[in-house]
Amino acid sequence: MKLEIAEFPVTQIRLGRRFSYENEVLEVDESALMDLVFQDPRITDASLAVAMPGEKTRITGIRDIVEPRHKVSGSGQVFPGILGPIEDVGEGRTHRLSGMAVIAAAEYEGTIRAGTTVQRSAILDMSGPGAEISRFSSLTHLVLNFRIVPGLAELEAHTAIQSAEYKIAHRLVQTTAGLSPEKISIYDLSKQDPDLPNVMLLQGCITDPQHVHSGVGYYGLALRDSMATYVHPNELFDGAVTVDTTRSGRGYYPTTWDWQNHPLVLGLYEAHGRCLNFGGVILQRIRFETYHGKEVGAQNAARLAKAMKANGVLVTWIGGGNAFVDVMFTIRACERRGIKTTLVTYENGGRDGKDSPVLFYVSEADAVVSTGSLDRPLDLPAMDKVIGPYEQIKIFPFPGAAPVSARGPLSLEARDPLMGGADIWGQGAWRCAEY
Amino acid sequence: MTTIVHVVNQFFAGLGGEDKASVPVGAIEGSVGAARGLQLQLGADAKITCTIYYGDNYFHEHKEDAMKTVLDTVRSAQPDVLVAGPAFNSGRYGLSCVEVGNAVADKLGIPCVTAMHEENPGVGAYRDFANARVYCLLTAETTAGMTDALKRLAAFVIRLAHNETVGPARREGYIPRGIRRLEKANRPGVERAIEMLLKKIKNEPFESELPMEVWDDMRPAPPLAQVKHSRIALVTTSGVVPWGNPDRFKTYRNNHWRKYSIAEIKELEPGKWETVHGGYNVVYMNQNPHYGVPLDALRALEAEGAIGPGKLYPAYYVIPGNQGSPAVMQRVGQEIAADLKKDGVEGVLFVAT
Repeated sequence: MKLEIAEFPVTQIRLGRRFSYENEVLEVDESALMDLVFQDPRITDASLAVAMPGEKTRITGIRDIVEPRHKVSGSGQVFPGILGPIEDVGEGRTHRLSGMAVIAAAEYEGTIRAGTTVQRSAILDMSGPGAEISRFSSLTHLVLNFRIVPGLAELEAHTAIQSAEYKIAHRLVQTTAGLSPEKISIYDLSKQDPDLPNVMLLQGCITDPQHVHSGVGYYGLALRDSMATYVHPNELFDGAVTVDTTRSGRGYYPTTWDWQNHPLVLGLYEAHGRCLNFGGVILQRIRFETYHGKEVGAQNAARLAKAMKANGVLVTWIGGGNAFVDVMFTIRACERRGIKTTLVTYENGGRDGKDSPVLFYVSEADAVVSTGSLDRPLDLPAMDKVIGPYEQIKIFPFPGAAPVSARGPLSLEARDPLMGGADIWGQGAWRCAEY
Repeated sequence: MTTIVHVVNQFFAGLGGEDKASVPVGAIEGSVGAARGLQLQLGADAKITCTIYYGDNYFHEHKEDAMKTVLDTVRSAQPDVLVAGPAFNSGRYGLSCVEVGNAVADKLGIPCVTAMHEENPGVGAYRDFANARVYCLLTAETTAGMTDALKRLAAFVIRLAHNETVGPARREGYIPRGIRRLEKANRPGVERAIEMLLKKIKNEPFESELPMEVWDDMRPAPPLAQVKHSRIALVTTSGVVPWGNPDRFKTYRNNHWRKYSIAEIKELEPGKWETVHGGYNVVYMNQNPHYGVPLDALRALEAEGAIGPGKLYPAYYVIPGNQGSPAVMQRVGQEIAADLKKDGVEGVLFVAT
């Protein structure tokens, strides 16, 4: 499976009357995009805005972030099972608009008051201390700011939000049709060096099987009680794995952009053939509700890695709380089968870093890379401009939380309300060190 | 000129061994005993203006008085840095060094440095205090390591006196206190992770960035001899609270607990109670709060006589457990236990989620 990703960098976005791409400037036909969005009767109000890195701008109500990609050859289309039919992806050529993203900023109240499945949204600062932390602040953003009809249940709201952002992103990148890219990267794992160790990525995914959208979409289908599944990394590049947009607006959850640009996948590709053979990705459902479930899930993932002849696995995860027990059990299950592990994780640890950094331990987890802490407080300055549906935001998503002015300044008790508040998969250099 | 106060025990002050362990707190101008050795290492850069000493037993048997005298002496001496020890493997001494250091740092804002062997019980106390102004250096087990310890103490003292930034424990050579701070590494996490894994595969040495912790082993209390004669209370981490969330619990990482009255309530009516918890789907709990606060079952047990009349505590205790930090939850548990004890509760039905 060989995928060519053709890169068209974007450093400026202009709202205009036509679609064009030239010298890293993307001009978009604003009214054509609005027409596209309003094809969906569930969307009642929408507008576009541009946010540039370094601006004193805060974006509110963020549900998801997506990079514009489009397949120009090979089977299927990006986001199979959502935008395109359920067909194999990961082969052929895909265009991408790099350095930019589409942000879905939507007002939505939800029908669930609390719990794992409550709707969430987060903010993003384009400058200041928030921008130093978030991987998204260095991108140029086209923000789709919209409202959906009140009273929609969570799954309906999700599909409305997702199809709006994906359709916009897809339309934007089609501007590059027939143009020659600045760069082409080739992703191909067919050559394996027998002298190098075989390394896989074991990606734990928190899922809520009782919710209509479990949280992780695989070819558009929600992953529920499934056992671990092999995916070729190229499938991720073409959007085979997606998120629940009503719940991915929080600091320690991945967005669609993260799945498209998974830093551990890119890192392993970079190392492939040089110091290791990249053996692909195992998607593992974590946060089973019982000890039994956690052990079966963990051992199953380890057995799959063993069957794939992995010598080592990078283990990482999405989620919080007891899902981490599944992660630790998985590490133990791998090590007991002779598969070496290194865990990549964010930490908790409380306001001042004196509390336990993670919630559960096994002695086999002797190799861990820290990507920083979600818990440290963060003071964000006032911004000149607010883009998005909310002028007032609730920093804490609990019943009765008092809203505060989105313009700020904001004093965050932890980084959950900031998009990219935790560097979950080690893209950046943040870490915690012990003092 | 940097000024130092040095705290030592009776032995290192040159007063005597175990026979002098009851000597009260005293202070001598300048440096005596081990402090003289430290002064030699400090050279002309810093001056020990006062040596405080006490007997190992005296300190622990009269802790309040001892600490007050130490603090008063340090306060009037106004040093830039306090040094205590090195204590090597001497347990009482090590513990007092850490306790003095913690009190001086907290009450007077003066940075402190001590030193001892890794198995000294003072190290445990040092980690528990996790005081950002107190540093403990590692020493050998016995006084054979005195010169080396004093050399390193002197170098560290000078750095503290000059307000130099002290980096992570491993890099700087002090014992980690369990304080984790954010920093930027020189390379992305991805690169560090791949390198660490490859080293592990090749059986080469590597350094984890997150040391594993060993947790307390909790032993449950012995079972009640007779439940029906015992006072029973209900404690839950389910997050079931009166509708409207009057005490503003968050859905995660709470810091406080509450108790809510169930006196004269037969059952929890849906709509009057709600679940504040971010860790599970709360729809079913809101439909039937008894999943978290099984008052219906407890009332039935009362009617059967399995719980004696008036023996059910008239309120239940709650904190939403989701993402609760272990340190906070430990404190909350202790507070709830103290409250239960005060009211004579003998048994608890604990509903976890």
